[in-house]
Amino acid sequence: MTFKDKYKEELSDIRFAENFEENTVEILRAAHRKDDLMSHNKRPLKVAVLVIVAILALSVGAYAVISLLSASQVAEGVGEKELAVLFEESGFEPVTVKGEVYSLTFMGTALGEDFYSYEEDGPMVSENRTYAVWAVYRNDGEALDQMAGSPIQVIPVVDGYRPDILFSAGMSASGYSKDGVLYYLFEYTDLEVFANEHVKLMAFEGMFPTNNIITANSKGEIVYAENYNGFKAVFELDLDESKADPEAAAELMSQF
Amino acid sequence: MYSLTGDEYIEMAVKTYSRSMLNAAYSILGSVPDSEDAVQDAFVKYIQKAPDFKDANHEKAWLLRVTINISKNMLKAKGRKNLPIYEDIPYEQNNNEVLQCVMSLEEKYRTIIHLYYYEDYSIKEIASILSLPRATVGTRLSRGRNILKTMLKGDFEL
Repeated sequence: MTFKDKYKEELSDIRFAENFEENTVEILRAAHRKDDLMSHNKRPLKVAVLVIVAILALSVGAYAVISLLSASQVAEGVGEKELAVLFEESGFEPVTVKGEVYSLTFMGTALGEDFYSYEEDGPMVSENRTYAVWAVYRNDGEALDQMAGSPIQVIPVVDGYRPDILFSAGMSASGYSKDGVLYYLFEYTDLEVFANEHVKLMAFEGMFPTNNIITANSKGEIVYAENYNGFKAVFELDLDESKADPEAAAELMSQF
Repeated sequence: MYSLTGDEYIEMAVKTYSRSMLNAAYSILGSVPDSEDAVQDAFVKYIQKAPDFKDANHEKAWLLRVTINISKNMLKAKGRKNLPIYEDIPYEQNNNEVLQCVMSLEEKYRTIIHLYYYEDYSIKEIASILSLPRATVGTRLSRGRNILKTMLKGDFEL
């Protein structure tokens, strides 16, 4: 007998409550009747607003002279209607950082709990994700080419860890251009598990956060490389420390 | 492909998927009552969210994933995460050699072993269900399998 056959046989011998299925059906029917849950495709999602407490850049302020979409409109534009509602309700005040050539507007952020999404080749459940909407545009008004991609990336970093580790852990972006502005909805890994660490979002020019762009100093703090002269913006995140999960953070970091 | 429509569908889903979900929960928790709680919680999430599934495989994988997450959270809440389960849980069916060996693995190995050997999922499918890189799943499967080979001393073909 193979291991597989034996394992299946032994596991199949485990006896669960005889009336488990009946009890479960009753519980679910009661819940169904009580809340009419079946009529709702999705329920409202919890959200917490990440607070920007410090910014470092060439200059900071409300420089945008063009009319930008709202974070909610961007989320809706990429088909994320639930997130659009969250952004609409968040009350987040957009912050613009203006560099020499480009400007970056941090338009909104949200924490998603119990989100789920599907990949073509199977289900993927994303219990917790951090979302952010960004707008990138040229200061001279020249339109940015969506096909060329965004000249600026924004990645989460955690002091004490490799600068590119959360970049490697997976982040995705959906976006489009409108009136020469590139809009992106970024999905990052759950940043709240690092809530007792120093977490920040760092913007840079280029595709990848190489060591000559973002690096760690002797104290382990994530900083821009000394000779990097491109776009700089750092958004520090004030996360709810009660949500910190060092074990989950360590597990995530150990994978990359 | 279809969506939940009522009591009949709840009953069908429970009858169709309960055993797989219970086994998945048990492979993590090692406890019948805890596994039953985890599965019922998973079903509650199922009706709350009422997702639209592409097909039955998609639906089952979603339910397994939710069950596994709930079970891991329960394990974590009890401070047992990644501890060999036989050390601190009275084993309920202790005459099952293979099952005991699997249950003695760290959780990160036994969940993957379970999905691979019991549910016959591929590494790619397991990676998708657990939201892990395929390489991580492959490594853990290989390590778990090597540990089992040592424990089982060649009694069963792995």
